[in-house]
Amino acid sequence: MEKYRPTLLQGGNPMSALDLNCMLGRWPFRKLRHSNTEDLLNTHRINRITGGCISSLDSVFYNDPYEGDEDLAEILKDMPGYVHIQSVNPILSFTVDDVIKGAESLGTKGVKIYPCYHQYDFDAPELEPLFRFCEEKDIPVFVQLRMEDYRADYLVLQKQFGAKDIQALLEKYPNNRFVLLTARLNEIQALAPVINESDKVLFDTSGLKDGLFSVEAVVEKIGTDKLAYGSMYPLFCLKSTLLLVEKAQLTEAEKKKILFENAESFLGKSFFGR
Amino acid sequence: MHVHVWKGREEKDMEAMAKACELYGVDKIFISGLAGELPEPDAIDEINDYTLKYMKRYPDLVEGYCTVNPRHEACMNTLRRCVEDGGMIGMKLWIATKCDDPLNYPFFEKCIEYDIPILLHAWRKTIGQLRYESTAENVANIARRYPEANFIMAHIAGNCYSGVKPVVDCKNVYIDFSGSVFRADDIEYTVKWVGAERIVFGTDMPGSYLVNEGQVMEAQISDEEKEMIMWKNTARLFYKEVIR
Repeated sequence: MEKYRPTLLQGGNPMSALDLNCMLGRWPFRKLRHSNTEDLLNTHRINRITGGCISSLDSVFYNDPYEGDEDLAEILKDMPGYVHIQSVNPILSFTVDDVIKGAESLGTKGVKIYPCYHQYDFDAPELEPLFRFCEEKDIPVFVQLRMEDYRADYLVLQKQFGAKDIQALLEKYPNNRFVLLTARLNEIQALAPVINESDKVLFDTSGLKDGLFSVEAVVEKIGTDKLAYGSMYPLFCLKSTLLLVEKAQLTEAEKKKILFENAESFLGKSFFGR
Repeated sequence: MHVHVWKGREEKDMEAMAKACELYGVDKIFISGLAGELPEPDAIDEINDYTLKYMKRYPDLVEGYCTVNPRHEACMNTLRRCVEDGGMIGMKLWIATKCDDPLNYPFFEKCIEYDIPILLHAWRKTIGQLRYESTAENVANIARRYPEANFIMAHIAGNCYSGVKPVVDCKNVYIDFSGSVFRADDIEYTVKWVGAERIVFGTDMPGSYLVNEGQVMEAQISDEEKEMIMWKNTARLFYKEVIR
């Protein structure tokens, strides 16, 4: 029976990485078994991930998202290498004030929006003050296009977005820097002409679950400069998202770009405190 | 133990899977052909012929399930041909009938006679549920009707939190977690309720592969449990081998 033994149960990531898309906090729809700070740091350490961008899961569902970010800021005091991305709901009228306060008091360096759970369209007028402010201050906007698989939603259905919606967002706000999180392979493929014309867009890899060789397929369409590693930990299995890059049929230099260089060059080395 | 070739793109699927198996170190794949929601008998025959073709082309790599549409009696002949003449070692039901539909009974009884496992597509979807798409409750119904049959419930029925508990007491139901829902906790939750002994490694290739392997690698279960999931349970189920 030895011939059936899988060969990949051992071994780790041979090069270090940054994780653009991880979270701490609670998730209202199911028990997360590995969601505290120690779990995240251990999982990152095992996989040679040295830092990244963290946001608050609690803030997604709080009436006042800022309270979740206050809690996260306390945790991040002891986590060098990790950058606090502030979770906001731009439908709330005080969002820009919160972003100013977050940067000054909590040390946040980016904002993250969740249209999937906060249920607005990208052309909602309430987004304009936030995006205008982020453009003026050159604050990157992280857009969480979806979280868990729609088909497994429980109690609350996520609003669905597709390539046309993303294109409309990029066309309406061409001067904002966007980090688009958990986009699907078919969406990136459809958006390739738009993406290739922009230097203000970065996608993370956490949504590339569909099909064999999905990372390779993205690279074929948009090259290696606009794709960066993100895990969606603790909702998704981190090792799964990492294998998509590690095992991709790309050169080591290309993998290095996806695993950390692109995040650094898009957001700036100082963004990560390096 | 759960991969596909899709009608109309068979060669492309097989080529991609063969490449993936070589790159990722996969020793065996169990193919079932898929030919649409309610395939006619000729489409069923055609897609099964592709599976037979790949079994011959890759004799060390490929095993076959016979796909049937129980709405057509002619598929019984297909099952006989694929198992008795072609050497397929399982039967696949997709979405032409819910798995506890009486139309399926003669097919299940034939599988019991052949002593081959039955792979059942199952998925409970919040949105987009298909007309004859089985859920874990359908799987439990049929497993209780045929306790002597071995069933594999695919995809953890789409969502482990609704899919596992209905079949906990059905010892003749194995569970695969193939597909692209790769939540961090799915394996540990499933092991907690049914044990690693009843979980088998499927991927839904060419739909996905690495995300499923990553789930096993990251799960906080013992190495022995990982070995059981990755290959030992499948070997025991299909080849009747006693694994120490």
